Amino acid sequence: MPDFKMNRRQFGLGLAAAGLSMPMLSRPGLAAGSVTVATFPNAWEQAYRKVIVPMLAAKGTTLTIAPALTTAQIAKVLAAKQGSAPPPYDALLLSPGDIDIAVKNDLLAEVDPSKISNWSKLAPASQGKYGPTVTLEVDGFAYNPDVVPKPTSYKDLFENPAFAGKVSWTGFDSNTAIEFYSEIAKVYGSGPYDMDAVFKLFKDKKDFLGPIVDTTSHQMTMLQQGEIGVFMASTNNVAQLKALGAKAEFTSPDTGSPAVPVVIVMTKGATNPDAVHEYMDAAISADAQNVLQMPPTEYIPTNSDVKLAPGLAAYLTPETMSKLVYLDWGTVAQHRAEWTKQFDRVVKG
Amino acid sequence: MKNPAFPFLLPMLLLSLGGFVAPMGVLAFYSLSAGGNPGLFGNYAAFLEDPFNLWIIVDTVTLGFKVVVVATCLAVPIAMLYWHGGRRLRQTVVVLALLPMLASNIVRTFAWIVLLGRNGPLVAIADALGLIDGPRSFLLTEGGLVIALAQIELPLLLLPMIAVLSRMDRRLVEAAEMAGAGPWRIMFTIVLPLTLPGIIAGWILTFASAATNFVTQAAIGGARLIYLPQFLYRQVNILFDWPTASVVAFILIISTGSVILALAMLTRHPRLIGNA
Amino acid sequence: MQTHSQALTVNGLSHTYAGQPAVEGVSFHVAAGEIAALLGPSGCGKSTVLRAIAGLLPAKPGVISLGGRDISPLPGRERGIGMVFQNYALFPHMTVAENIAYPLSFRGWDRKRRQARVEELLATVQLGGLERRLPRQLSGGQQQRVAVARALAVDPALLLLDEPFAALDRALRLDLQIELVRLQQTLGITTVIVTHDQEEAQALASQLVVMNRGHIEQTGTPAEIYDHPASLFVNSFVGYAGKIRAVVESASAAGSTLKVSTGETLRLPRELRFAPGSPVVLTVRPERLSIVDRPSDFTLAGRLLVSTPLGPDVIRSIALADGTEIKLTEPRDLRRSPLESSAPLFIALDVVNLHVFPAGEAL
Repeated sequence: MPDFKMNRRQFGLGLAAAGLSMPMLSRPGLAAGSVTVATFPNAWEQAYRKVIVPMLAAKGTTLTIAPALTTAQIAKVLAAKQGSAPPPYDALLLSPGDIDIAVKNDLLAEVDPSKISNWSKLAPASQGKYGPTVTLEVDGFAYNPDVVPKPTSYKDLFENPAFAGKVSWTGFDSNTAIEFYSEIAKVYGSGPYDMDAVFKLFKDKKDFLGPIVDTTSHQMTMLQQGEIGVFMASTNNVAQLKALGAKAEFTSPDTGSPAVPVVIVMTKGATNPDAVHEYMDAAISADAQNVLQMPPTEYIPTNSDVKLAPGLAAYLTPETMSKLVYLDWGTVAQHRAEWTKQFDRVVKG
Repeated sequence: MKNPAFPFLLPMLLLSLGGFVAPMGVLAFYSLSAGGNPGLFGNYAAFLEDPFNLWIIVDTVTLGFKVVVVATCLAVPIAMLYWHGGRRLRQTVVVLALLPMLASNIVRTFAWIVLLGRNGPLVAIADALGLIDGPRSFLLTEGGLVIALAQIELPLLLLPMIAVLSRMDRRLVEAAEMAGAGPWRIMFTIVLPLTLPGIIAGWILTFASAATNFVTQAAIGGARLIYLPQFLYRQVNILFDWPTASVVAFILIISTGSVILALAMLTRHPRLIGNA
Repeated sequence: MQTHSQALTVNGLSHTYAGQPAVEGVSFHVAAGEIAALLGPSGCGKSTVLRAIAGLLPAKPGVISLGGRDISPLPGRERGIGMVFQNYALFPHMTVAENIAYPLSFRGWDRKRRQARVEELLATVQLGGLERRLPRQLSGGQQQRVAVARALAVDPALLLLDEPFAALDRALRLDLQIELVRLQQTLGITTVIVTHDQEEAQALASQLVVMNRGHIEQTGTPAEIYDHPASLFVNSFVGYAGKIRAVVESASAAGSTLKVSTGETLRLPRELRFAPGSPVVLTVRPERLSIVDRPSDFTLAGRLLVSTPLGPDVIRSIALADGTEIKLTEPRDLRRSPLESSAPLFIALDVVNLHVFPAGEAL
């Protein structure tokens, strides 16, 4: 990642950053007892508005939800920091890869577990330094059974003619994609970061590659349209597709499902840390997670008091849960720019 | 300031100075000074040295041109329909030309995903006509992207043409008719040349909009067709490589801007002045 | 430059716009080499007639023949007619030479021949040296001449001009009118001009076709129309005419008696074809009135309102006893002492030449 630590002496950046962080001027979260948080757009944003906002309102705290992709969240907070402005969000919703970047740029503040009453209900792995893990994104193959048979392994996708041209991929822009490329690197190469093996595979198996697009949401549209048969998705993506009435199923690869914790973190300079702690507490409360684990969201609960709903239990067999695969996002961050560049050259039409 | 209109221009000048010129200046400065590449134009050199990146620039500008060509082929017959139509037909053409603009670009783009898809009508028609071998998809192809962009940007070309046509003196056509010209000769020697200022204005808007339409390029073109806007988005939001991003931003402005400038110069031709 | 001048005949021409008749039963004849003017107020249908002759509108029903040949079924481009449009309709994206050469490009002529013809036409309209200018770089008069040259380019059998002087300064008009007449006489081309300006029509045309509300009121030479107007409309539209209301008291070969709205009685030494008791309007041309000292059978009492000198003449506005206003012109006589305003006086009417129209006609 070139020029990752940005040089503050350059006056230009400050102004440019101030421009980028302009939206925060209009943020409504400056009043006492109010907090502005970023979440993923659409499903997440709607669910949190419905579930978490009323919980905080009952305590007299106004919660404002601002939808933004993880990368955009970081870009805006980073820009505000470079412009010496307060952060546009008090809390972010990030994955470990993003948290790494945010920590390196000194964007996050540590949380005080004593202010979060549900903290003890979390498994130790979910008790992060910068905030609690609110759910686990479990990834696998989303497929349309009308178009393709049920895929079982990565070899299936690249060698079984039934999948030729039916599997959609995204570039290294997507965290989900990187998890899968890492898994493919393990199967076809020497280890989780041997992307050369993946690129070679993409070159050799051109005929097997289906549409290559920019985002998972784009793939969701194409699956709905019958345009593609398989794409790499989270259980949440599949839950959303099903809620929309699309023919979509989820299955884990035989080598295990890549998993990514989703963590609420507090930004450094947050205007109202107490309210942020309240927000975190609400998000990991059994009350909230009991609702959020139901369709259409089906967010996997992290609160140990919550009993897994039957809908979720269908995806998350004990076998799946025992074979979750985690990635080292620090290593990914080091190589991401280079991998992106190479990927472009491999796939460019 | 001698110009009596100056006080009225002041708000606009301040707005463009503060909201456009100054940030652009900052961005220009940043593209020259930030990052690890040595030399004043180090960032530019690093980007332009890579032939892969040069092709992205060429592809982006070419895309704009292709969309302009296809949009023109669509717009001219519609404009002629307007020209020859009575009051009712003219109103219909204007409403139909404006209608797509009422839907957001994202909606129009997703409509095209359906239209261009494997199960969409265009593939069915092309298959029935024997233009393609068996079912396939026009999604994620350059042809599909050009068609979708041409339709999406069509109002930008059509409306300036209609604006010029609606003000055109019908007696010019009658004069040509009395001189002995048939309908096609009149169209090519009188109506279209006189519509040219509108057409060029439309070309400028269509080109600029098509070459920079991030949403449609990404959704219809996919990740295999790489254009500057997607490249820029990724540098800003995924890779946080802002020095390169500012370079790409400037290259996008310069490459599309020079085409637009060239088109704008055309309208200065003495034969085109005053007939719009 | 020679033209094959041909006579134009319009017979029974009608045209409707959106169900409303714009022109009804229009018939007239223009002899070969003559200039006719279609004259009338705006909206009278004169432009419609011109456009029908040109072939820009269908003549249904109606027959238009040129040189004895029925051209009604032909489209405009095949009629061999040159037309100068209102505001000239020069092609703004073409130079003077290109504008004039435009009609020639449909004749299959080679470049050299076209160029020679353009030069010839430019010389005819005295625009040599301006061939590379664009229309917007020309003055109004120059534009008009380009339009005329373009209309003449293919040696048309008929030249149509739609309000050719309306866009020009008054001062410039007379010069250009004279020039046009000279050009027309040189070429001997049959010409039809549409105008709303009766002075212009009289100055240019050997024949006037006066139109009103979609039909022809009168056709004739300017003198015929001026001196013998067929209707009250023609009388008022062509030249000024004072109007006096009256009622016929008696009418016989020996003479007629009229009771004027002022109460005075007027004797006319001719028979009027009106039944006694008919309300009528007398029209009097200003130059046919004179001021006299004492009353008679053919005078009316009046009062001077204002006198306006106009060149060698003086125009006097006079109020009759009942307030009716009429105008009178007489030569400015410097030796006579000027008339005082509101001075009572008597006006002698030219009872031989004054016209009497039924009062039912709209004024």
